[in-house]
Amino acid sequence: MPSPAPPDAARRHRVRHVTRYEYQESVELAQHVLHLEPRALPLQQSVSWSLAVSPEPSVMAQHSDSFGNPVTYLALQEPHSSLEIVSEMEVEVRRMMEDPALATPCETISAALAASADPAARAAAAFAYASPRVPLLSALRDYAGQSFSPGRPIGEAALDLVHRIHADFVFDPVATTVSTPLAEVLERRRGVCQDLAHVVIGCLRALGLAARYVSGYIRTIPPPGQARLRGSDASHAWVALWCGGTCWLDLDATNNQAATLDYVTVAWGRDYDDVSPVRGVLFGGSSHTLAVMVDVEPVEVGPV
Amino acid sequence: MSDQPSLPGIEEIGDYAHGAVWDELVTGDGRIRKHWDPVMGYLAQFDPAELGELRDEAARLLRQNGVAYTIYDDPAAADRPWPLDLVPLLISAEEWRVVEAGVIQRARLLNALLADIYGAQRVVADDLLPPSLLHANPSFLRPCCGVVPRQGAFLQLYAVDLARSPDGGWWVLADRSQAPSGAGYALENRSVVGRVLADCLSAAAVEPLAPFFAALRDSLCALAPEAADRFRSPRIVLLTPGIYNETYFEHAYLARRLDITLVEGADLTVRDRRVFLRTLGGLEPVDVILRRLDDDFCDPLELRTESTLGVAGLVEAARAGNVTIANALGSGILEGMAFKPFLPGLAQALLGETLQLPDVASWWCGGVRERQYVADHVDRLVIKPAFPALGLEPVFGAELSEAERAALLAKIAERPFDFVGQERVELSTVPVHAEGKLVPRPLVLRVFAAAAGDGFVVMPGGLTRTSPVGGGPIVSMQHGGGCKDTWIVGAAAPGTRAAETESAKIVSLRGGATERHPAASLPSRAADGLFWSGRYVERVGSGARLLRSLLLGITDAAKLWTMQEIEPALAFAAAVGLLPPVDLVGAPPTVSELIALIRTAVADQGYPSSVAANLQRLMGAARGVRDQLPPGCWQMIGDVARKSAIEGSRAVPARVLLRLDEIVAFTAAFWGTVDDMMERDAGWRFLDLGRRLERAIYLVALFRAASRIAQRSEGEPRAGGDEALLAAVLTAVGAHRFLPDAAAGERETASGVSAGLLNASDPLSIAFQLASIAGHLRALPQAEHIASGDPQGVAQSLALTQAAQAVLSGAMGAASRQEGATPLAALDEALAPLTGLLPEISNALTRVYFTHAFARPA
Repeated sequence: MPSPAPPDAARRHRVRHVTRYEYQESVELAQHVLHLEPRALPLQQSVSWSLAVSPEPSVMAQHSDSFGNPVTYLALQEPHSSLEIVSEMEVEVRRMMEDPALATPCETISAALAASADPAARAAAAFAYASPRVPLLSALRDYAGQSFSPGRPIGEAALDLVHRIHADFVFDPVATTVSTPLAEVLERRRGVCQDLAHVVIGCLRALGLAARYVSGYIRTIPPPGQARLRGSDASHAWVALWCGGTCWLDLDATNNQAATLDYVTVAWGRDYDDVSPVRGVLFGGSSHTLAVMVDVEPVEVGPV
Repeated sequence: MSDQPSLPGIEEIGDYAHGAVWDELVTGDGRIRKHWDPVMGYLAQFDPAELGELRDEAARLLRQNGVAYTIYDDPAAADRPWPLDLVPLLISAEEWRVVEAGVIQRARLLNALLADIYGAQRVVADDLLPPSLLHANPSFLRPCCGVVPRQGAFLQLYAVDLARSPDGGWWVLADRSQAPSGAGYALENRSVVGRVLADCLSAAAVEPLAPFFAALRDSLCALAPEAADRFRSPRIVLLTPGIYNETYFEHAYLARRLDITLVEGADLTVRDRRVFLRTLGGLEPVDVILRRLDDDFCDPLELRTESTLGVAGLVEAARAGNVTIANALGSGILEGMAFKPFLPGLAQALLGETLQLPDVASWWCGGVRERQYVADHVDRLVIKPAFPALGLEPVFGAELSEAERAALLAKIAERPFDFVGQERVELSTVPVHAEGKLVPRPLVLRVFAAAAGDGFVVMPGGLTRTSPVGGGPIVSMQHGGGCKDTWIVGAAAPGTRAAETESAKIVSLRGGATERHPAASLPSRAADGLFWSGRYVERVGSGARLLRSLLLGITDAAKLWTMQEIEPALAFAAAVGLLPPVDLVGAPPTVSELIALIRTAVADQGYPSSVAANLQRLMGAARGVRDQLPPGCWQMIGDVARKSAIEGSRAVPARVLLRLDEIVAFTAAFWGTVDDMMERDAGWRFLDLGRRLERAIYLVALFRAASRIAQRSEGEPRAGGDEALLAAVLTAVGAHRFLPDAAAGERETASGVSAGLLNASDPLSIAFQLASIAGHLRALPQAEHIASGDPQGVAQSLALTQAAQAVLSGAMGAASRQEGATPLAALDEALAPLTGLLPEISNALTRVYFTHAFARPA
């Protein structure tokens, strides 16, 4: 058992993430790729993680993807008419110290990327170009440019961008689907956390910066006087911007803030496609319904 | 070049005039290069007419072998004849050894580079390669990072396009590291040219190609995961995107030559992180996949989600080390032009060697200085996509208007890392036969290397492609170019090698380390294709015979049919959907209108039940199983389909009749070849099942139509009576031998009907068809082995067939008990259940054997 962190510097969460498929007809063969296991980070410790799959899969295998995320491969080779995947974890998140890199002028960062100046810049380049979900649109560059005037500290410019996107875009759970293109999100100015994350990433990359898509969870605080509703949460997505060296700034346009101790990181990639929590290919089954339930609960850490 | 070479003896080459570039045949001062002497000496013995005959012979062989190349965007043309020019490109062995060493070094370099890119990425960490070459490159497949192929062999088959500059040196135009095409075409070119010019090949001591393919095959066998060789021989498959791919002919040809199974993605499945082939006999493990499918299409689970051509779970199977994919998934990344400027430095870093084969000078605009250079010199450059996945066409800077140039430069400024500027290459020329003489045409040579042991071997020769016009900047089969065989000459003394055709040599590969897989391992998709090929050949044949009888009856001046005589045949043609219903009472058609109707039914592809439309369906069904059919069958199908489509459309009756004769002859030749040459394996059973089922359905329709005519005529007796009607129908379908003779009475007619229905020893009877179907069903792999589909289906098909046989016996009983009324009249009702039952057999077979459960994303 690790020694508990001071209450103001660390927070522990218990997350239960349930994914349930019901198939119209029996599925003969299914293979799934899961990004559900939380990655280990300097500021985030995974205390425990477990995965329960029903029916019992024929094959379950683990590997690391090219971004360093843990990946689980599942194969269900017997006919089945439903599938339930339950991922449970306990994670401790620690506070990031204010990093002096956030004060770097933004054009210094883009210049370092363009020149592949050092090993850190060369590593960050993985997140600097167009990706399947995030084309580089000139409209995004024009939009983002207003926040990134030359000489402005990168942390401040990025937060300004997030505030503007939060103000200009409407969070709307029915306006988009997982396959709505970025250009359409931009035009209609509405979407869910994934869409907003893609907008932020597209803005930052269009300016020559490196930004990655972060998939995880956020603990929501119920309105005063109301109890937490079980299963009311969803998986969440936000963005991390490279600010030089080892400094990545986590930004959440949906909630208009930099990430806090209430954010649990699971995986990161270039966009949603690299780290979608559950993807799969089925043979048979005609059509399916999908239900996802997420609970994030605080865990009181007392003396051992 | 003003000096025209004097080339005594070869009239066609008398005024061969090449330009300021290097010519492969003639030196700058007009003399023939020494290594061409034996070949030019050989060709000099022929006059132009004889040379023409040699070309015709080559064209005939190509047609016979079915060599074709599909042009995209032209579905009507489907397969284009292969544009092989008979005179080969000659390269001296001395010069070739240099090229060979350079190609081997390059293959080693690219293999090492792939290992690093999909492994430690030291080249990026050490600043030898800008990271954007990976991260801005759509061909970089992240899921393949960390997947290490067996023996670290990323490249099994590598190809490189070479061009010769005016100073005589060879330069690299492009690398083909993913799934290079052309090696099979090169072998086919050799087998054709080698046969036409066999004595010349021998006299010039041309280095043979077959050992290269033997090495390729050995190398693929050696890649099988270890578990395979302990318990069974390794299974290698060639994965094709399918019949619509431009080089599908080559896939089928290579699979046959290498004696490996040709499969499509839907034939394979992944279970327990292993790849299996769905066969009629069940799932069979696959050890090595030689793929012709592009990287990102190979796995809808981890790569391109919407791909329907791939195999879900393939990346995971490779990651687990249970299958070897040649070339490794992700190897297409190196086809990007952007890598070229970095190769000399990478050769030093990864191999500690100097790069031997230079690349045509290229500037990748991702670098600031390079972008400036390209902007300053755009007039002298070809602007190409940095990465092939971007799908941009090359642009010749010199051909741009001021405005176009500005627009291009703006695009480059916007997305610099997507563009490369490359120096324009003056290609060397080679004599090509065009407009009755030999003319110099620019060429690009594709050279192939296969992994062998720790290194690579190079095919001594290659695929020479030529531009259709002199000085043409683009050499591409897609743009109407031609191709040539490539001869490496001078290593052995002339005439020391026995004259042998390459195709004969390749047969020796079949004696290799692997055993042939049993007939039950026929892929399910192939069974489906054979079944429908059988059905369509039969449908085409019966349709052509019926239309032929009709046309003869209408146009034969000696015995012009009356409308009344024509009616039964017309009614039957309408009943089977071959002709639209004709109103003979209200508005009887004129003879010329009838002929027009028949012409439509023969040649109009737009008329769904026309013979031409069914020939197209036959092409579609047979294309994917041409490697399963006996030699020549696919060629016959192609010939007859082309003719009926083109020549039949505006033909006079005699022409239509000739066409119908040819179609009838085709079906006879097709079934004759099948009966003569096809192994009695599961594939043959499916082909014959299709034929028998189609014929049974047709015969049932025939007798029911005859019966209905008989019923109607009962009320209003007509001249000739029942038997005349039946005679007309049977004659129309070529089944008139069921009739004893013209003077037969009712009884004999009834016995003719009886023979047609029941005599199981007569191949034109319904009973014979049903007995054959039942026999095939009993002999097919049984339900418990069937990997996919409905396990009850075989028993169900058999039960349906037996039910059909019972109906048939009952129908004869009913007909014979019918007193007073004509026996024929009762048949319609008695046979009616068969009209529903027979297609159900087809449906049940489909559920058992042909079901491809298509993958869908979840």
